[in-house]
Amino acid sequence: MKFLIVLFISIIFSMTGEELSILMDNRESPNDVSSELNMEITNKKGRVRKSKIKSISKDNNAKQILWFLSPADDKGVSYLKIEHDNQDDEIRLWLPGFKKIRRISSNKKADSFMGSDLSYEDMTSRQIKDYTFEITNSNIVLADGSHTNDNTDTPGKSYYILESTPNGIDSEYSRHVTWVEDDTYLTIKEESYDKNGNLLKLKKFKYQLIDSFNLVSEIFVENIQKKSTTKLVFSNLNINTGVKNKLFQEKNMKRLPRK
Amino acid sequence: MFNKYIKQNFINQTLNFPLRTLLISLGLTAIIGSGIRWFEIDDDFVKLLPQDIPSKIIWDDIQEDFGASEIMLIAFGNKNKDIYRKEIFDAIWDLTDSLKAQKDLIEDVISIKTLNKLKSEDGFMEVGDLFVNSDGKLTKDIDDKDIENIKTYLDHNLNVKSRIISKYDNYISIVIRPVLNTNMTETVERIKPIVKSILDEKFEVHYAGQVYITGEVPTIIKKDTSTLMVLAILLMIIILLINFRNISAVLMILMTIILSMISMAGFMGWMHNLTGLFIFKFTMMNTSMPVVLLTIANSDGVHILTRFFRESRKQKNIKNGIETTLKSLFLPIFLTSFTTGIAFLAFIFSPVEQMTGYGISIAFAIMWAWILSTTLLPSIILLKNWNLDAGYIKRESFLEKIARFIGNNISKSPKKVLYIGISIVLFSVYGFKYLEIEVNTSKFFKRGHPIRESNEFVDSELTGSMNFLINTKGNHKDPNVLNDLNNLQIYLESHPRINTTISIADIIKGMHKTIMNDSMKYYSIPESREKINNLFFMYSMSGDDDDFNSLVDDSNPTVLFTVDFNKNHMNNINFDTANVYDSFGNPLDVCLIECTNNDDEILDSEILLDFSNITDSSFTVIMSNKIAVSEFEISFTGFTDTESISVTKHFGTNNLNLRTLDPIYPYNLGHNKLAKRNTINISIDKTNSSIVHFSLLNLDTERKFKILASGNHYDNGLLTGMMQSISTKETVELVEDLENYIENNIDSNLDTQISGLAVFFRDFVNLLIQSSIISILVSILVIFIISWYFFKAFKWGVLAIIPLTCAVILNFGLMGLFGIKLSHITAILTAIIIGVGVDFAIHYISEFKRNLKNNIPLDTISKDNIDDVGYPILLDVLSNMGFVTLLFSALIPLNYMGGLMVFAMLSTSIGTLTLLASLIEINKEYLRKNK
Repeated sequence: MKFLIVLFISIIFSMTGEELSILMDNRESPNDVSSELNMEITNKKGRVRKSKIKSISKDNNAKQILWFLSPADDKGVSYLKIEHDNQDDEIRLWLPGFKKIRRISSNKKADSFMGSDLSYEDMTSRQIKDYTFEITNSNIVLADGSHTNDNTDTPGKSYYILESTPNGIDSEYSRHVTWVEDDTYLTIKEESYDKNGNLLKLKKFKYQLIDSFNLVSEIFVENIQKKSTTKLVFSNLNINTGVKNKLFQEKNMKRLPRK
Repeated sequence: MFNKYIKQNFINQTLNFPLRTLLISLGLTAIIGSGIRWFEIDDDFVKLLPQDIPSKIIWDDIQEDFGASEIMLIAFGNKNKDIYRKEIFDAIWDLTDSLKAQKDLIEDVISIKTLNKLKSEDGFMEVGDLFVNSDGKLTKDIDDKDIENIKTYLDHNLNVKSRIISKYDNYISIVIRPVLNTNMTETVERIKPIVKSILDEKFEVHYAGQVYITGEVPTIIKKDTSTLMVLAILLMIIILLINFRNISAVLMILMTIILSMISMAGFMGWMHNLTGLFIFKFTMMNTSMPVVLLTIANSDGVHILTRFFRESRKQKNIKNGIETTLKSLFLPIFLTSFTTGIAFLAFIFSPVEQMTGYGISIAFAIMWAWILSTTLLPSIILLKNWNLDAGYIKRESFLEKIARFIGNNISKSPKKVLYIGISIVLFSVYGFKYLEIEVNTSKFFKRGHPIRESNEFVDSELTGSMNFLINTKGNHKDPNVLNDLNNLQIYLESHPRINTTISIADIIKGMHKTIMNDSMKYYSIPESREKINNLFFMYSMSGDDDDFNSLVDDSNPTVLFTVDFNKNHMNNINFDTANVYDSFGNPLDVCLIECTNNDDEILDSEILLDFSNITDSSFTVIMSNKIAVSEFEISFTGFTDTESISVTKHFGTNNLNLRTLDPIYPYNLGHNKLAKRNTINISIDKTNSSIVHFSLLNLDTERKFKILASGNHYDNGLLTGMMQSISTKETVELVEDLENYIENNIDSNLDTQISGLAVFFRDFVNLLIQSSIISILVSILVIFIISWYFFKAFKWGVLAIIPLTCAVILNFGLMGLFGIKLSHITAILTAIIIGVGVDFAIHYISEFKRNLKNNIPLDTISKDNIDDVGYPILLDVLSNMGFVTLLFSALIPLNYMGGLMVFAMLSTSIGTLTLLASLIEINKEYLRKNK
């Protein structure tokens, strides 16, 4: 219903940034997603680190469990995240060498996630109430494809350019500039600026359509200041397989899931 | 030929056309001197270091992998106050930010503001900033309680504290790592004003570290040299004036010197412009060039003018006087210049490339000084109106009387003089055994000098002003390797001069302690590789892997084995996975092949095989022994449509559980698939043996293949030791002790290479000293041959080298006896002694041969000889005594330069006028018979 109202308003009047963000937030998503994730981190020296991760998430990523399959050094390590609206998120780590589960502080939003160019803040959904949104431009036609990884976007496609500014929250960023497709409300590209207003990260996204859901199939992040990149490729995507809430428990971190 | 074509023409030209000769020589000098516009000064010391000696290559590799190893340290505080004060923390904040802003010069700033702390939070290791307020935020706005928290953390982590805070908590340091290969002088010049503007007068500031010293030395040398050289020249003018008693004569010599200097600078400019070579820039190594040229040009001028005055006095005619002067001195001055030039050209054998430019430029300038002395100088003499009745021509000078006194004594008791001379030389040989090498640059400063005091302060109160590096190779996630590394650090820290060491082992111990609820019991290397992996993983959850960049590196794959690949030849590679397990842990992450030619040049820089030229051959990789879950990747590229490759995989008698392996067996890859790129991924799970066949068809050339392992193993590590400034002798002993320890105590697969600037300097200087000694010997030999040729007898060749050989022996012997350390500077200066010292002997012999030819009676021949040659030699020596002013420099190398120039002059002149003179006097009958 909320979606229809917003849609109606946006047709009658030109859309505001907040309205667009609500539309983006309300995009339909599957109940659960399981996938294999290949992460490739390239540092400024050109050294590449590859990891393969099994991921199962539920409730639009609010619950997520990750098992590290490779490299061999990290095999068996697992990660469990449960987001809460009114309290700190729970993040836990299973360390098979020590046979211990360790809690991770959720305060360290700016910290890098496993040495990648993604921070915990990047991996957490943005709360609309915590940001001020403004559409700085719309109906931008990007035909040259410069904003995607491999120039595969459709020529002539239109985008909104949405600027999001953190509002009274602790953030590593001063603002984000996001390219949003005007028909699907999918984020195609995002620039994130540090607190001094300098460009810190450039993120690019690709999607795969599965059962009418546009699911992220690839994320490419470039840390402009560190001169490093991270590429995440999602494969074997399965949705709505009936993942139960009880999967997201500590005991399930200790063993790798069966295929 | 020389006499007929060169000597006679030059003399005729000068005598008959003095004005024309003067103008031509001035014109040519102006043309050469015009190159000054391209004359460049470069004070970057690092560029002077040779690039190809092994320890430099290792050092470069380390710096390539881990960043610049040399540091500049700024320590500040107040003697009677502790550093836990707001104003100190404010200063640290501001200074760190200002220094970090110099991104073109500074790679990294390590201060209390940039340090991380490892915190145990419910057993989770949290990596955070140390300089934080009560909310855990990195901010300048901290209060006394926050400072107290920082103090508590440091007091609980003494290994961190000892790196930045002094023993009594009253000084704190900031460490700067410059961008690799930056100009250290520029770095220091830019950093000092920043530090001054922030630290103001409130704090006592000390600078230390190799970057600081290396950056500061050229500035001090330039400053000291320019002031003390002016003093030396003034003294020279005064001495010449006292002896000549004529201002024109002194000005003529000065003119020759100045024009020679201009031509030298012009020549360097031209050469730099024409060749673009760095060796023709004026650097710290070239500092002694003006001194040397000044001495030599002065010597030429003094010989000409003294002889001219003597001959004019005798012949009562200016033109005849100058003609006789030129006839008697043309050959000896040519020979002295030529031999000196050759002695300097021997610098082309120096391992320091810059010395080649030095040798070529100074050799040219010396020869130009000869041309000016034999053309321009006599022309001016001829053009000037001289009063033959003036006292400066008519009356003998004081030095002429001394020369006469020496001559009389030599004639009376030559044997006595000879024996005394030989005894002194032999006695000095005894000093050889006390000779010591010293190249520690901090010891270049006299006691009490601010730089030396700052270094001593940092040595005693902080981490120390010197460092050394040990490049460690092995799997730095293997507990055995890490324990060996840890034990090596414990051994090193037991050395009284080593203050602290740091390696990845410290970080792992710290992480282990933190994850085990901060219990000191766990400040150790975990017993399993899995635990170590988990620690690194946990660190990556809140910290940054780049934090380890200065300690471990895994960007370079390690060679597992190499196979030579011949045409039509089947090669078997024994790939012992047990060794691989030991070296890299099990399992391997990635195995790559690198293709090189027989000169070990990598043919494919991307480590992917390019088979475009390979035809017809095969090799086999045999993997024996156990291997757990593992994968390796081999990529083939560069195939054309007409080429093919057959890849066969066998996996022993025990079949593998192939989880992810493509089940095709044998595995044939058609060329169409390989036209772009194809990758075979082989995953192996538990086997006793496995064999992989790679059949390469139509190989037409010999290749060498390397199987490389890479992955997140941290195969390459760095152990850094911070130590007090120690002498070169102590450095050598320390390195030997370390090598012994490693040989006897390291059992795991930990390979070590000791390096760093101190070790490199040791090798470099040894090489430099060796090459200086070779160049000294070569010079002596060349001078002997030239003298033999020009004086037309073997015996004259031998006699020509006697004084300078004795001078070299005396020089090294007395250095040993008086405790003067042998350094690259003293070694080079000794080579210079030869250049300068040979002159006197040549003048003496040349005059003696003239006297023999003129049938001077044997009874007075030596006396007359010393009369004629002794005076200019003594005047030459005395006028160069001005270099004694360099002894007042704060820099010991400049003291050496001054001292050795003076010593060279005295020893070679005395050697000539005593040893050579007495030898000739004793053997005069023989010499006349065989003239």
